Amino acid sequence: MTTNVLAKDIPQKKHAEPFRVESMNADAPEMQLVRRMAANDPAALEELYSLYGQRLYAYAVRLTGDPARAEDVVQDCLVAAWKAARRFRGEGRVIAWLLSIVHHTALKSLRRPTYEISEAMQETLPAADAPLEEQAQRSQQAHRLREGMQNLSPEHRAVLELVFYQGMSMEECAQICRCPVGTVKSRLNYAKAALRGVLTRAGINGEDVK
Amino acid sequence: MNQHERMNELLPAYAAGGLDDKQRRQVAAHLNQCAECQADLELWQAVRTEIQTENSTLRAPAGLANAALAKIHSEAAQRSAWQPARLWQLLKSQVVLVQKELWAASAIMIGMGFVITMDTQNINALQTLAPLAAAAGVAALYRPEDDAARELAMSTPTSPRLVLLVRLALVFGYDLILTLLASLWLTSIFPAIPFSQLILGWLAPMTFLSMLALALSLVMGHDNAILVSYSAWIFQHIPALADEKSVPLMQFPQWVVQLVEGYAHLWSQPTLLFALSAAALAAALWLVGNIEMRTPRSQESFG
Repeated sequence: MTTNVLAKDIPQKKHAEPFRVESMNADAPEMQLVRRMAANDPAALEELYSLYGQRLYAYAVRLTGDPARAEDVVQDCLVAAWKAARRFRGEGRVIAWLLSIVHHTALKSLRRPTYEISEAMQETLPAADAPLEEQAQRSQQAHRLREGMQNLSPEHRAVLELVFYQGMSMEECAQICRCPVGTVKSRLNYAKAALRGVLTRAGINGEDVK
Repeated sequence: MNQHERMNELLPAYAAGGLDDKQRRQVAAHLNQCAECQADLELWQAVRTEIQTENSTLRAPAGLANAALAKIHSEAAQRSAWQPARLWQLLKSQVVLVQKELWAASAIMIGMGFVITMDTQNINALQTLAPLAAAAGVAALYRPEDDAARELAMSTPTSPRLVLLVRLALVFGYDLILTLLASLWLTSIFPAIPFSQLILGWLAPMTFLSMLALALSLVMGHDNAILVSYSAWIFQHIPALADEKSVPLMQFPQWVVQLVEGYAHLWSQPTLLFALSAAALAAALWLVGNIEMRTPRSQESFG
């Protein structure tokens, strides 16, 4: 395999905006939405949700592993964003600000001891006894990776999701998780080692990881 | 940090498609010569694919924005309840919802205290009856089982604690003003009665007995609350009655006599009674919040 092939395979900005910490352009459409929320325009919240709802929900599911709880988290995030809209200065991207709210709401929700594991959550736990058809459909490697990611802590899953789905830079990850950039990098390294360990134990070596 | 480490650190962003052209070229050049970074990149690409595949099956639930807006409005309504205009509106709405008999019953009982005091020139009558009138009124504040107020749909949701406080202010305030007027009138007719002594004689006991009855009514219902609080009030008069009727308390064991006298003494400690009143009110507010959270019609029990 050559490097050129590797480079060619990588999609550009398919799921994400560019990796850069940048100040929000005051005229950007999403910034206008935040302004309208600050001015008590309910339609702006609905537009914000139709723009970012999918990404916020995906992040909440990734962190909580529970669709029902993820719904509550996103709803709480929208309420919090509405209340904080006046204070948002546009020092980062709106999506990074929203993800940051989801991040802390989700982690807080996970710390709540009375929250029992729901049926939906049990379905998403590492499923050694998942239906055979499903297992057959997924490659062994993908299945192991999925299991490996579910076994990571929410903080490690958060960094993977932020980088590979949400298109956040290291600096934005650090802002969202409220930790130093070095911690984001060390979480990525830890996740890499853990996932490689899962694949190695399953007899899938590095050569097969494609 | 050497070149390999720098490039290796950029691999997640490279796999996610987030580097600028210059960085991409640098990473690509390094990948040509580094098997370790190639293996790492392959792992990151697999992770990216897995995450994106999983997320592609998710659909953000419809209606979450509307649910959030409903929550926002509900919280805003709760907050605005504490604004003066809204409080005034709430007070007015509760006046008609308090059971009508309460106003007349309180006035009659305090009026009786006034008349007997006039007749006997003994201030004990007013001081004994006024707390009973207030306690009976306050114990009837929370009666969801036969409360006409349940039928009233308030335009905005109001916390059950606030409704209880507003009603308490109305009913207790009414009894307070009536007893105050009766006291003023008595001291104007009988200048020998010191006004401050008259007030001190009923204010603290009336407050405590009312708050006690309120808290008890939430635990054991209206009727039992009145029974218990009235008994608590009457029991403290035993030593005084025994003195008056020359009943020898001494025939009881010493500890019983001490207990009865100690209990009666408690009711003559205004500071202690006010502190206990505050505790009973706090307990009542906590209880009403809990009761209302357990009942499905949580916003409607009062009105």
